[in-house]
Amino acid sequence: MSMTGIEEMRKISEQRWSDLKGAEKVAYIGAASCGHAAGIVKVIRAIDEFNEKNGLGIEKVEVGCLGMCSFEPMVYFQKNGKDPVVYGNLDGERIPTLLDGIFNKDHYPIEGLLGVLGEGYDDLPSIYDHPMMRPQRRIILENVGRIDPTNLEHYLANDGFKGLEKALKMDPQEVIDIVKGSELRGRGGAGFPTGMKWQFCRNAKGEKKYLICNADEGDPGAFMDRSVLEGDPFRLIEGMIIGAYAMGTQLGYIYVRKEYPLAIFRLHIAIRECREKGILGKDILGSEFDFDIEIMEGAGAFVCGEETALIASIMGKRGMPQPRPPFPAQKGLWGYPTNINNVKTLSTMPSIMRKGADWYSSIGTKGTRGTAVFALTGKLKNSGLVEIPMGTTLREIIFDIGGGMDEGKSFKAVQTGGPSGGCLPADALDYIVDFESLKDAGTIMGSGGMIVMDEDTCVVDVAHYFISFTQEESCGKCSPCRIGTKQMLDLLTKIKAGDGTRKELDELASLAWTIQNGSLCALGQTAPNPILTTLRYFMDEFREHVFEKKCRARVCKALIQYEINELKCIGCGACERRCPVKAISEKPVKVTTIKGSKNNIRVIDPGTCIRCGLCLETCPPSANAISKVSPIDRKDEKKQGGDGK
Amino acid sequence: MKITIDGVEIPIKEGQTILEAARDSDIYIPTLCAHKELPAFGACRLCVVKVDKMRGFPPACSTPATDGMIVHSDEKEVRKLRRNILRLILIEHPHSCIVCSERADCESIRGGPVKAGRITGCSMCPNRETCEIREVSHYLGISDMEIPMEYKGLPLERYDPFFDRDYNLCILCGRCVRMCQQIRGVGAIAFTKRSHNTKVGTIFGRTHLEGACRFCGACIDACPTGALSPKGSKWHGKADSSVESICTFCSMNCAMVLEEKWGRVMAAIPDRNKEYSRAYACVYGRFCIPAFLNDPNRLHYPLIRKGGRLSPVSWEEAFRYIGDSLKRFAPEEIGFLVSPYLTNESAYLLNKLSRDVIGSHNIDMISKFGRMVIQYLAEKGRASSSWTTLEDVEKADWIMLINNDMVFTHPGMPVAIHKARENGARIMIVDDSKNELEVESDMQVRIEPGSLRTFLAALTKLLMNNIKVTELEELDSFIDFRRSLDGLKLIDAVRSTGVLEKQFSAIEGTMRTSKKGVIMVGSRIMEDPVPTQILGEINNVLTILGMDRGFIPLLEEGNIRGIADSGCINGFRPGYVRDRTSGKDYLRMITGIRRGDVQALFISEGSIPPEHIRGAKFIVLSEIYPTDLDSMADVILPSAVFSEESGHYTSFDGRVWNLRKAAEPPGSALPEWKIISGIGKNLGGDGFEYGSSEDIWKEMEENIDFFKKDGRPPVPERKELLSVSEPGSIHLSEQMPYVVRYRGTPIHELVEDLRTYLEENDRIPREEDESAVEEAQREVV
Repeated sequence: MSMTGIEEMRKISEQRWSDLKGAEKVAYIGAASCGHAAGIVKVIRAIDEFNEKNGLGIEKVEVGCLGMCSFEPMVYFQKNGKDPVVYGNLDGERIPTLLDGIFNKDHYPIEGLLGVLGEGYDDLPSIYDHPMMRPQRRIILENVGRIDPTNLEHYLANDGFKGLEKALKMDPQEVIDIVKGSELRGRGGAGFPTGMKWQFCRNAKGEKKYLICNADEGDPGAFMDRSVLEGDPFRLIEGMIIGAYAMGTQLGYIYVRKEYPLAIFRLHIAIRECREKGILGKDILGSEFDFDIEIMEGAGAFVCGEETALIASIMGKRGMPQPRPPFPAQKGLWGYPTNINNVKTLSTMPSIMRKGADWYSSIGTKGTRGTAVFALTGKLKNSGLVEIPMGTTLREIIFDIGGGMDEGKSFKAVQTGGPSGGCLPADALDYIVDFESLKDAGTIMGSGGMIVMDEDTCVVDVAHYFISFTQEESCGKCSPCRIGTKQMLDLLTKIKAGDGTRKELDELASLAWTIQNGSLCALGQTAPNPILTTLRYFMDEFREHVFEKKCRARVCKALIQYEINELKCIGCGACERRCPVKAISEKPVKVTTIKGSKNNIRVIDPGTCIRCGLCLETCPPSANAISKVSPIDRKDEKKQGGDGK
Repeated sequence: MKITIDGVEIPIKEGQTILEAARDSDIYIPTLCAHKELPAFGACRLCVVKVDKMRGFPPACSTPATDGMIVHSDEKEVRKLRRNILRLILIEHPHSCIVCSERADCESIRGGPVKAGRITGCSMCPNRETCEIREVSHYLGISDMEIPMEYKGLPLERYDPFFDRDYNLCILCGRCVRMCQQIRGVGAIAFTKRSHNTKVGTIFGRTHLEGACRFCGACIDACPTGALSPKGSKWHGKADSSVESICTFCSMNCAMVLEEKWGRVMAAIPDRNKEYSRAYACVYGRFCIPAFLNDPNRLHYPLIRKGGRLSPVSWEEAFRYIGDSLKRFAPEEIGFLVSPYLTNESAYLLNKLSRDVIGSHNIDMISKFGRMVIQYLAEKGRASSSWTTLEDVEKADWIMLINNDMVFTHPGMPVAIHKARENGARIMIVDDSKNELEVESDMQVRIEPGSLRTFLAALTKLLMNNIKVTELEELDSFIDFRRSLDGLKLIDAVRSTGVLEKQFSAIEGTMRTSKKGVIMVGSRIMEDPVPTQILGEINNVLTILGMDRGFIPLLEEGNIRGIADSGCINGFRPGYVRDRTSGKDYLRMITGIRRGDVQALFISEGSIPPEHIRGAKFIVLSEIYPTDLDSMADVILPSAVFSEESGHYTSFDGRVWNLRKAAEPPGSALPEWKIISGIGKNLGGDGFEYGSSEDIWKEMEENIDFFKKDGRPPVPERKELLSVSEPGSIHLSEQMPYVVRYRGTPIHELVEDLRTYLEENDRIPREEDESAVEEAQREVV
């Protein structure tokens, strides 16, 4: 297709888009993986049923996710061409009343109403004024949740491929200069300047060159790339074509993990669509530039997110990192110069090309321009996917956007960068988000995972969790990572079991140093970060585990006990029946229930108890007699009591 | 260009890493995964150094050395990091032999290792004397371990032939895996699982025998620990002495180090110091040499048939008896059948004995394929010039493999082909049955049996269509050649070969791209009734392509090339000088025996079928093991094997190798040249007074141009075209697959593990099959 061809198509697309926006009855359905997990299918079925029964003729459009995970499943209803109204936390049962209210009675029920996707009207607030949305600045996520990700027309109508058109009219070097001027840094975690990286690849000599998009997002609790792939795949394709044009690449790969079936499905559709319309393939938009994209599915190895391991994986080899140099830009896939960028990096390109380098470099902080996409998860009120300008403080993200701690608990720590990052305490909340600042704090920006923990989290346990992850995901090649992470895990297990001594603490620090400095790839080099930061910020808690045999969050099983409060127990026996190891028995102390019957109260034998916590769950809230305690506290109390006498 | 390591300035070469530069200057940097022959891997992390203006601790093995670099290898932090890493490695490796405080005293008392199946303790490891971990530990001064060892508890793998595996000792340096994949091109083993469960293993955990393993032993030689150990020699400990020699089982003549202990060759290890052939050693050379040579059945004494029974006699008596007996026959009644495993010196003496002393020109080699090819080349005047070499193979742009089983006959050759392929060569396989190398090739065509001639003819025709051959048109043979080609229709060729037209043109197109090509042909072309026709048609192809070189016949026997060079070929004296008097070749000698023209035979290996020589009146047999011919022989002379004598061998590509003595022959067995000298002297011949084989070699170098330095004539131009044969299938004669042998005895007959390997690959009939056949026959009787 030529440039004029795309202009025509854009006109048609814009017409269709405005038709849709002006339509009488439309339901936009948040149908990304998160929506599906939250039960969107039942909601869709309910809408269909109601629609059919009442003959409303509601048009349905499946869109990506707005990033408000804690409000899934979400549907936005559009009536009479007005901006759609977003409803969250839906379920199938509420749909009839809701639809009846909106479309038949012209009344927007207040329950679950989040706001208008656009400017507010008729007393309805704009969703962009929602505390979760207000501080955000959406560039990469611009279209996510607003358009049908599989519909090229929707993308075209929302400035899609304008950046590409502009780029194709330029000299490839000019494109790279713009990227350099934007000061964009790679969003995969290391933060290497993208323009420079592209320049290396452009300058490298090779009869072929490859561009790989790294979509092997594997950090626990991270889903930024998935959201972009599921919500706006065309944007990534556009970014890739721009990159390919700038570097002179003929073939691109999207290396996406197999655990993202919906993302892969939508990518396939988008790529096919682009090929049909001449946006991919030979002579792209009449520019005589050829480029195509293939999808490569990862097989579930975290380490394949590492560049050289990823390349090996594409070549059908075992996903093991290679020593660098040679760098992929010199000798990568099949021995040719290869450039690897993260999904978010490439997805930023269309906006940069469209709006210019100066526009992008005006956002963010001095060293780190642009926005950061974070997958905000953990014990927060509002978890979700947020895009904020660089320079926002952690406090703003957690307490303003995230709405603070859930269930009135207090904040304890935040982990960024997944298993390669570190845990920051409350003192560090005023650190701003950018590459340097987070590094100073001892963690890394990473690719965008942010896990918030409350007082019920034990940091030793958190460190143990992350090390067990990296230990399992170590490819087994280099000795410090393969053996060292296992040793660290064993030490942490020992500390968690209350068998730690000063020696274990010292060894942890020494091992961390060895692994950090000795490992081959970034997985190993950053694996000790969770331990280093927890040791730095939460040393007192480690010391408690080691010297006082106490876990203040009451997580480490060996250091806690379950106890039945004799004064509160109503003798119902529910806990006894539930206990899987028969650790609970009757004690010959009678208690009178409300109904008047006399029951024996129960008591837990700590020797038999396996600390599964089922009794705590089972105990009727009215009684609330069971609690977790640290045995060491009990002893202290007794001692104090004794002194008192 | 220079770099500084710990204050010492050392020179560097372009493209070298810090480790390579340090090694060249004899600066030790500890490492366990780096290997001279393999690209950097960066797994063990023991070679970490500090480099000024570089972040962290870069590994010396993969960091390129750049001019002016300042490297710190012996520095406090570096040492600490290395020690920490090595301690981690030792957690996975039984290390009581390293950290024991009594170590020095203990080792001075306990010599060899204690034979133990599972290695957990200090003196059980067969690798103790050569262990690289111990070396590195010593350098880094590891004398204690705070963290206890974590024994993996993996099962021992002892069910495969030739070598045992105990992955509880493995430190996952990956050398074996990389050797197998990157150098040998086999990939029988790989890393399996991940994290601390990572293990080296085969596909789906199959045995090596069922898997792709070719038992070349490259993995064992690369292993820094005792995880991989050869069954045959693992408990021998360090050798008493070792010599640089070669393996003589096939014509590649790989350089080997023969290790001697207790007066016997106990192991043969590829000679890693020789650039050439260090990578090529195979199952035969790496594992079979000691077992084959040290069998108790070796002949110890000369035997003479007296009253129908063979009785041991002294050498003097044997020589006298042979001399007296041979004098009874006319010279032309005496025939010499020469083993292609004799040294060049022995062959030269045999030629002297036969042609000059006795006056018999009936001398030829015991061989099928090799004899046919060399005779053909000698007749065409191409035998004496230099042949296409292994280096040519490695640097070729295309390689065509025709009807061969090189994986079993020349297992080293696929390594060269793999190397060529890594360098970008296109590998084409043309075969009428399954070829093991198909996975290593870019194009495979399976032709119908008997249609090879047609295939070559069609290829010739396509090449003629696309290449201008004005020079060739002046040849006398051109008109006939052209006419024979005109008679060939491509469609007929397609029909009878089963090769598609596009396959033809793909092959033809590839061959036209470069003159740096090689055509290799194996002994299966001997199934054709006139195999020289095939050689002629290959010559056509090379002639049209304008390639004077580029033909490699995969000669089978160890020194067939050398004995032909030295005059043991019909019609040619040493150095391919035409013999003025004609004699009988092998086949005419066989028919001569039947007719009574040939009555006395000197045979130097027992591989001839007995019916071929039935009727001869006097047979002298020199051999190393008893054979079927023993019952017909009048004199049996025990000969020394290649590890028991010195001399020279010539490999298939004309490279001359030194054979060096590693051990004494058993009993009174003598090197072949001494036997021949003894006979010669008894026949009254002059010029058999040699002190050593070196004297014979000197004589050869002095008297024969061919053996002088640069004495070989240049490669002649190809100027001959042979009319191609009619399209269609030729009826082939069935042939047993060639099995590798030495002096007439198949290696597998004495090496049980090799029998298992060859049986598994259907190269030899299975033992139970044989007995079943016999049983069936008995029933029929």
